Amino acid sequence: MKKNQEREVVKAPSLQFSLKMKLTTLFVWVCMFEIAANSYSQNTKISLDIKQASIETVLNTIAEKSDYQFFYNKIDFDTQQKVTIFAANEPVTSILDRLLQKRNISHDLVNSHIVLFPSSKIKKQSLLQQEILSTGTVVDAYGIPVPGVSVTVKGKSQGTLTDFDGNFAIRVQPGSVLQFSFMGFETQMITVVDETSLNIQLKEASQELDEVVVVGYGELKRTEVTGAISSVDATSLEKLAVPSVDARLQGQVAGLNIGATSGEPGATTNIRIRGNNSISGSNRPLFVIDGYPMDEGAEAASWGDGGASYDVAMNPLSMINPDDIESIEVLKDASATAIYGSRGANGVIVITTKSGKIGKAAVTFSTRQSISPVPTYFDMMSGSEWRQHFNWFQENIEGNEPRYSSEEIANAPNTNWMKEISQVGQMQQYALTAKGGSDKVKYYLSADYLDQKGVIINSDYTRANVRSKIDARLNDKWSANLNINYNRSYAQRRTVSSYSVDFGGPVFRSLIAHPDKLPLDDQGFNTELDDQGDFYANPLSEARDLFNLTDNQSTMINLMLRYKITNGLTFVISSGNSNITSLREMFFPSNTSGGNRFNGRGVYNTSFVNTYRFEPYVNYIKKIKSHNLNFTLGASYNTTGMKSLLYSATNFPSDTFGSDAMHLGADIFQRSNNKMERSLKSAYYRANYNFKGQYFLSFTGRYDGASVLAEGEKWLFFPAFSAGWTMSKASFMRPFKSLSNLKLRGSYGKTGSQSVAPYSTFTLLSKQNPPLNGSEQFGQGLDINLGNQNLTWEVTTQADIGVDLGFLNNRYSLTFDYYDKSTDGLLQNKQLPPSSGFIQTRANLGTIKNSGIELAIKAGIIENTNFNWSTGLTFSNNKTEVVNLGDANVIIEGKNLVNGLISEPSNIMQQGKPFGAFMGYRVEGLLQADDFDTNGEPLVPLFNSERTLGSWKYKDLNNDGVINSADREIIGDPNPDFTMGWTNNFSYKRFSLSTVVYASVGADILHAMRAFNYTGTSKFNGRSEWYQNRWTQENQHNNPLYPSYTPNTNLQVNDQMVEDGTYIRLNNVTLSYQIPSFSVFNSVQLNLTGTNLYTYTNYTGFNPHVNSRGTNTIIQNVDLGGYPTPQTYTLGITLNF
Amino acid sequence: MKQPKNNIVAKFYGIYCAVLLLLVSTACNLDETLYSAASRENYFVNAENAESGVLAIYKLQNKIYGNVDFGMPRFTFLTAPHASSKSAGFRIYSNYTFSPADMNLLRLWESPYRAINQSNTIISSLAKIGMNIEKRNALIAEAKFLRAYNYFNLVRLFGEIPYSNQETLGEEDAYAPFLSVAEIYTRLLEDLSEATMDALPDVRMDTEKGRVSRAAALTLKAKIMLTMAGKPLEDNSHLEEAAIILTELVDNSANYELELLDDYTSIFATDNKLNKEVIFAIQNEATVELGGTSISFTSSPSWSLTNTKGNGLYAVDGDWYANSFIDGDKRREVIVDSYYSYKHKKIVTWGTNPYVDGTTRGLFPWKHRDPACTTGNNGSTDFIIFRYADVLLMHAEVENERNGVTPVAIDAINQVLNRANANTLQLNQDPNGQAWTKESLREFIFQERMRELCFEFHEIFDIRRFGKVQWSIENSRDCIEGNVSYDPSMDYFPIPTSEMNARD
Repeated sequence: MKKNQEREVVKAPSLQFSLKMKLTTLFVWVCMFEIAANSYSQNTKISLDIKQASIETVLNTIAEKSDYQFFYNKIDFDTQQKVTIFAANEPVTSILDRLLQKRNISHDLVNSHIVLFPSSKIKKQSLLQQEILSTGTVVDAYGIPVPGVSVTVKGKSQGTLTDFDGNFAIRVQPGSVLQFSFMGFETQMITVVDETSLNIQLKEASQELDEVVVVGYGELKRTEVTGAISSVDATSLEKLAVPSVDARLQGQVAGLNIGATSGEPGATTNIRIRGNNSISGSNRPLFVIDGYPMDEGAEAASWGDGGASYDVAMNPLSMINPDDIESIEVLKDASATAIYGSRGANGVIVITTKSGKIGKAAVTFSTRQSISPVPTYFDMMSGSEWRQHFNWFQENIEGNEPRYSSEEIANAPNTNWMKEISQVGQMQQYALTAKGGSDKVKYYLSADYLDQKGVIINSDYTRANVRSKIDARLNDKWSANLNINYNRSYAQRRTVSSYSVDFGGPVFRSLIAHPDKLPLDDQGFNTELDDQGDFYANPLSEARDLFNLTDNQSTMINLMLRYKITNGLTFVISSGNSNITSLREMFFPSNTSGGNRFNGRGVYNTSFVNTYRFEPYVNYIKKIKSHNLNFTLGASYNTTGMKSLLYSATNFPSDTFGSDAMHLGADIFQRSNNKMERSLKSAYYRANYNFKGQYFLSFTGRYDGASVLAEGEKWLFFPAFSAGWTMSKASFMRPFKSLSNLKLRGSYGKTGSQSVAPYSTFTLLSKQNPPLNGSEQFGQGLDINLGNQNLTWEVTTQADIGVDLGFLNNRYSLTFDYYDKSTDGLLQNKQLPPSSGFIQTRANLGTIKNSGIELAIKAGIIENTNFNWSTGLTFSNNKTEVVNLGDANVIIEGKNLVNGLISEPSNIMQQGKPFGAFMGYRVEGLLQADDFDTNGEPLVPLFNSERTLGSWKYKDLNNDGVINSADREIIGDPNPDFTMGWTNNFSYKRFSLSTVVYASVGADILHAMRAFNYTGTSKFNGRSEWYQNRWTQENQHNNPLYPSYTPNTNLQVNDQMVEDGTYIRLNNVTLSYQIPSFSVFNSVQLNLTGTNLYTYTNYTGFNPHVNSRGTNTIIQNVDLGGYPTPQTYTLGITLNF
Repeated sequence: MKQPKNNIVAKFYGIYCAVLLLLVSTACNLDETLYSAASRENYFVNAENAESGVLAIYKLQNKIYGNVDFGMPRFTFLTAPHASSKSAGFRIYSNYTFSPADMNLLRLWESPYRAINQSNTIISSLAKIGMNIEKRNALIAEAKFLRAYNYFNLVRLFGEIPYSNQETLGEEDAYAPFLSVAEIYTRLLEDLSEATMDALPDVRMDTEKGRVSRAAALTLKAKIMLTMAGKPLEDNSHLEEAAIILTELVDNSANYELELLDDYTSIFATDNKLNKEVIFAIQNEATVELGGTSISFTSSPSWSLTNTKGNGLYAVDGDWYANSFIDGDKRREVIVDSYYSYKHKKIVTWGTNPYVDGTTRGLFPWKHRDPACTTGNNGSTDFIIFRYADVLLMHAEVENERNGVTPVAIDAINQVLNRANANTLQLNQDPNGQAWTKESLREFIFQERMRELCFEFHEIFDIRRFGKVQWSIENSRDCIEGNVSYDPSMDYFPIPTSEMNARD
């Protein structure tokens, strides 16, 4: 748009017009832009690096980078002069001074417009003309007159102040530059040409205060925001080299907690805004990408797993390339999220992708190349030690002959299984983007390809994205925006969430496998199977031969049409469609533990999820004197169709074809076919009102209807209210000059959740085919879930108070929020007496409260032309309280830790206890000789009659003389006390350095591998540390960390597995260097990034951020052989053409 | 100038608001459409669908015993004095130390109730369907039999239990009241009324083979009556009717196509399922999705001489084995007394390894052996619930209870002993050469039932109705070793925690 104006000015007959006419034209433009451009981001500082280019090119570049527009007459000076200029984060006016002054060109700044004219003209005119009277009015961005503005003539001592109505009058020579300055506003300069009355509009000083914040169905200026909304812009995200956006957000936003679940490529994260609200529903925030709400749970893995319990889905956010993101808004409180009513309860993350800009096409190619060294291994028992221990076990526990001779012990192989399954990880990423546009059409096109090989062999992840974003101005009234995104992600996975030992996966296997077995033999990997009943499976077979594929494709298309009814009133129709096709293929060959007993086992699940959305709404902006109104009213229809086909079979005559030939599986293990639909209908509004940009009120509401809820309970209204006062604008605050911003905010409102499966109100039937007389008959039996015909919304009520503080033109800023929210009518499975024939019903029961504080500090510590240092700190503390679950006795249990071995749940929900607290036994010591009387009868209760000296002595918590599951209590809290993020950005000339440090303090981890590696259970390998310190006749002690021996039946969830998961991690260090433009390149940037460089922790597993159960709501922080998170070193090159 | 413009705005505004609200409110409705699954409200509306609802009860039955659900063997077999397990995780059943929160106890509880709820739903749905009356009555009778059978198991296992014969429509119906043991038996006999009996065919035709027959219903009814006569009710009032039923079954066994097979072992063979000795069985079939059972695996020795392997979690006490069967008794053949031990690298035979050896706690009751079963759930052995030998032993028992030691009683027992190649009984003296008394024959019948029906899920029921719970615990090696002594609370299993918690 900007460039064409220049051209028009150049080519039009108006070239010959006087400057006065041009300025008149300019003011018309200014007025128009006030309406059209009220959402421009006014970044006044830019960086430039241009060699031997025309002035015109430089001006175009500045225009593109700064949003300033240039007006000049090409015949006035030579715009093709070649110049060279470099600027690092320098104000535009200063750059222009350097660029233009020596070439005798003057410039004037009017709002976002810069007028250029030969300096000679001023001189001539001033010589010819006498002093004139310049008059005018000074108003602020809202058109409110500003009294007391100092009006001075540049370079002279002459000056005046505006009166109460913002008017001024001053005698100057034509061509003089008038300077308008007032605290809190940017100083403006304007060249006086004649006696035309001037209308000066001052802009608020800080860039940050002028930021635009994307909210639901519209935008707001940062200054107008009264809800709790945090913004992250592209520059903070681009510096990080990790391939998914959620990982890049870690530590960047107060109140947003990103918990990694695994170091596996493509692994998902647990994303929480202000804690967990729900037990059975989802706690994941709603992601809205360019206005399109994303659906979750669309992956085939989440639809069942053929009994293998591999239900952890891949990262759903892999569908967006983080480098395509322009900005991210995190909507946290009710006033911000209520417009998303039904889905806003967990907060909303609004992602805006990059758009094309007016200007000539800019093409960028970038690549990243990473390597990850193999992870650090644990010190495990040697082959000889293991054989020795096994002999001890045979002799002393089993009463058998020892299995290994002393020769066999001495010559035992010593295999480091973790090493055998590890490799150097690699990642390569290539991205190509093209952007540009005219005032009619703007485009942003990007394609990226990423290929990652994990640090465990055969784990890899491939992703390809193609994105197209087109903005078109069709005519004066209509404009359109079309977004198309295609994504494919493909992962061969090696870590799994398994609930059984058989399906533990290679990492788990490598930690338990006997070290005295050889990793290879001539037969391949299939000779060392569990034919001795030792739970042994070759980890290498698991890593190499297991086939575990997730293959997702998604297409998202969104078309937004805008119709401008009148100035300020716009009608928008946004509609779109997203399709996710997902395939989960698994094959456990007969030489793997998962396939051995089944003679090969295959799983082939497909799912198709299709969402259709239609959202018409109107925006109305009205300004009446000091009253400003911004109103949105709209409706929405959203329907999701889901189809899936699940098939698993066993008993394969050959492993050769794997899951490509599922028909070879002789026995069908599971087959099912699902088709479901859910839809949501809503009407919503938001009314923002402010008075003089100082007092703010906002009312938001959404009336939502959800198909999945019961008849008569489908509809609910979610209102929210917020208010704000920018106290720093009050007159009594004027003396505090260094305080550039002080704003008090408060909000209160309700949001909801309807995240239950479709058909929860029905009592469904399922296939119950009996075998009768040798053949299968058709039977339809009642499901275990009783339909609830009263099912209604889960409602979260949230109050938030916040303060925004800014000093020295917001060079230092601080945002503080305190919130308190209560989620009532929790959607959960209510347990029914099994005698009813049903196990449970979905019901609205119970309350969870979350409260916490959030603090975000930003400081521009050093701001020089050459050297800049800025720092940012976020702090979040959230306390979740399970207030009640409908009944004081109710305990909601997560799945069992390891089926068949540790068949008790690790995490539970209980009234008054932390969310997802660990529950288990207490170990009070080790069994000693004096725990038995002279007849050998025990003096303490034994667990499963285990009497081996030095084995765990469980505490009889209820003192009934028996150790059983009634002797469990809460043994740990997986929720952190607080999390912190600390970012630093340094720049020196062409270099910049940024660091991100993240800390999580006070969360416990259930290090379940301790049950295998620290217990002396005969079948598994152990840590060397255990072996050296274990209880023996010679080394008697009472330290439960090092028992002598524990039979499998006594491996229970207990306090010995609970560890402190506190850690501080240097998440990211990026060093960048910008090479001046050369040859065909406008610029070239080099980045060197280190990720996950150093972690300070006492945790003894691979990672302190881990969850072997992925995104399971109840089961958190359980480590059952989690995939190690590697260090990564990345070299990135960006070429701009 | 300004005023009209505002009117235009207002009009536009109004129109667009109206249009968009209209669009959204009519474009869709929020009713849910069911696709790949039916709901009970819309499905059981015709004869064919209702029949599928009845067949589903059999599947729910199959799940009680089959697959990875070991409920019945743990609680009915392991609790007998001659049973044991090498696994500490299983010994909690044989020594009664399991907790009310035990998952397997819960399965034992919830599975029959699922079958009962399905029966209740089908019975009430059938009443509303216009269909052939005979067909309807037959289906109702089938559902009533299965309901009664499941309640019969529950009341024997747990005593006083929640009872409902109405379907659970909403949460408010989910809290059925506890009824006394006597009251529940009354309801069971109501379910097995003359009308029920008359609606069932004497013998199922081939297409319906395996479903409930009149013989099965008569056997169940007689067993209920006999159980009522035992502990704890000691209600003899139905024994006469039981005698009539059992006499009918024995005298007219040909009508019901019932007989004792010559070969004891073949009763349980997977290639001889639903043979003439079988009256009612829970059927398992590995080739049917989730229709297999693990019992062959769990009761087989770990590494046997044959190809079959298992984890040998159930064992028969060696002393009982040695003292209970004479040489040549064919019933010994279904108990494995030797196997190959990988660890010892030799064949282990009973007697070479003492009982205290942690891994070898006895012999393997391999009645449910299935050579094709190699893993946890691909066995196809049926669980025979009622068979003709049981009818004969009940016939003898009822006769003894009513009339003392008579030729009718001795003859019925001898049929069973003869087939097993065991020593038959004399009418005038017991095996020890003493004169028979009612009590000594009752004791003999009890012991004979243990031998004949070992590992067929009768043990705990017989122990209880014969009033031998205390004796059983005092004579169980696992109880003695676990220092467990009898307490009256052991007469029944505890109601699972889940049931009680959900009722608070």
